[in-house]
Amino acid sequence: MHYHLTLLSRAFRLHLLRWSRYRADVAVWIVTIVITIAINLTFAYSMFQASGGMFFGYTFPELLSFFGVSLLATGLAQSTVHGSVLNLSKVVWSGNFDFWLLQPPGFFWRMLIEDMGVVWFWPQCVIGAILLFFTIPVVHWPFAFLTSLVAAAIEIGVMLCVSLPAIRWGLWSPEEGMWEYMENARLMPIGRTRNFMLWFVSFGVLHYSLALEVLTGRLSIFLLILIAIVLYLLAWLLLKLFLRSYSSASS
Amino acid sequence: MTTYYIIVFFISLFAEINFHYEMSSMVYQGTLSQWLMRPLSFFETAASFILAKILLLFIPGFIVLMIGVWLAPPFPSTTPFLSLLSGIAVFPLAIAIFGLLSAIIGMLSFWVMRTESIFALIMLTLEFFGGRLLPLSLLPGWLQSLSNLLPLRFAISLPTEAVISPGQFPLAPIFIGQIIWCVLLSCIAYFLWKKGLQQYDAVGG
Repeated sequence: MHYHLTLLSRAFRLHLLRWSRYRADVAVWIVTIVITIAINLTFAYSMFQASGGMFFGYTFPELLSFFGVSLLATGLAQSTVHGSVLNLSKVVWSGNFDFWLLQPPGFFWRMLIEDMGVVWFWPQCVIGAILLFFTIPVVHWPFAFLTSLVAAAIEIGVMLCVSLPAIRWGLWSPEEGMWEYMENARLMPIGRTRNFMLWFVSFGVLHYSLALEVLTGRLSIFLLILIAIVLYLLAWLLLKLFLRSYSSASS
Repeated sequence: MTTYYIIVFFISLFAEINFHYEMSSMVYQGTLSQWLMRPLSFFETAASFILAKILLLFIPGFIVLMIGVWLAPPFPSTTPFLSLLSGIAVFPLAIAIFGLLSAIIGMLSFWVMRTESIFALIMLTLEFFGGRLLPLSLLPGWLQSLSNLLPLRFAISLPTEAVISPGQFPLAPIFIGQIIWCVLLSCIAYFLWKKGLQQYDAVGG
């Protein structure tokens, strides 16, 4: 335990140093996130006006809480999984995956210490939480955060399942495309629309729409938890499967 | 509305030209020097990269259009031949605007270490005001007037409407706007290139 804590604190210090090196970049990302939120709000406002007061079946506060959940959950998920997803294919391709397997931290512990995502994604967590504080009644705050946590777990599961094939095929690097897709698809809640195309294009981020249904009391949180468990099980199976086919020579 | 978003999706694919990323890597790693010493101008190198990327992006673009034909008939309008002609008229310069924006952001790598964040910031803003998320007519009035001052209106929203409503939408103003923006963006890219080279030290970092 002491070893792992030491490792974690060293990783944290290293990433703060890295943040300092790229501080201009970080500042631009923060401005980008703020502008993203402004654009989302303008989008919501315009659609709200155009649709005569309802947005795909949701009221304006519900819509804002959707943005809150999706920002907080994606911030939490990317803070955890970003590093391993980002580096897995490079590590395999360069033949360094052996070190990941031989060193004491297990594969899932790697998610925390490898290129710590929280350095980049803390603004999502902060702004998402603020949006939830504003739109959800105080008594429901713990439930809202629990829902966001489960949605984050689902996103981690999705990202893992999509990125794990890199262990077998080192050039498999879906991170950028996946991120772009999820960024676009999480723009609107689709839980109450019957439009097939919307469901289809939002497939990877349906959990945010489902989380909003949980928050509005139309769906049980146990369904979200079940989805998360299934995804982790799938990720675990994929990990076992791809580790079997991994050979120490770089892919 | 579905047709609008499918066409917008097709055009927006060309935001992925990603020349800025290549340029940033070349400056960051110091490999730009190799290209400067070759017997062809850097403009030719950049143009060949951008053209190759555009050709590659036409493959997913074609698939997107086919999905439109399959899922949203009559796509893109009741007069598809006229739509095709309108598209041929307005798409090339629209795509050129995306290429030039990517080049301009790439030139910024002479001053900053990474350009991905700047690219995200600039494209996010410009694409929103270009009509990627919403048809511009749905935006509040003051935002619509702001979008008149920005380039991607001529690369996203207006070309899309010209394709959806061929014959009803005058092409000349779109064409003139695109030419003006292409010239202006080319001048900015050239200026940044000249200024940037003065402080490029060929060792990377």
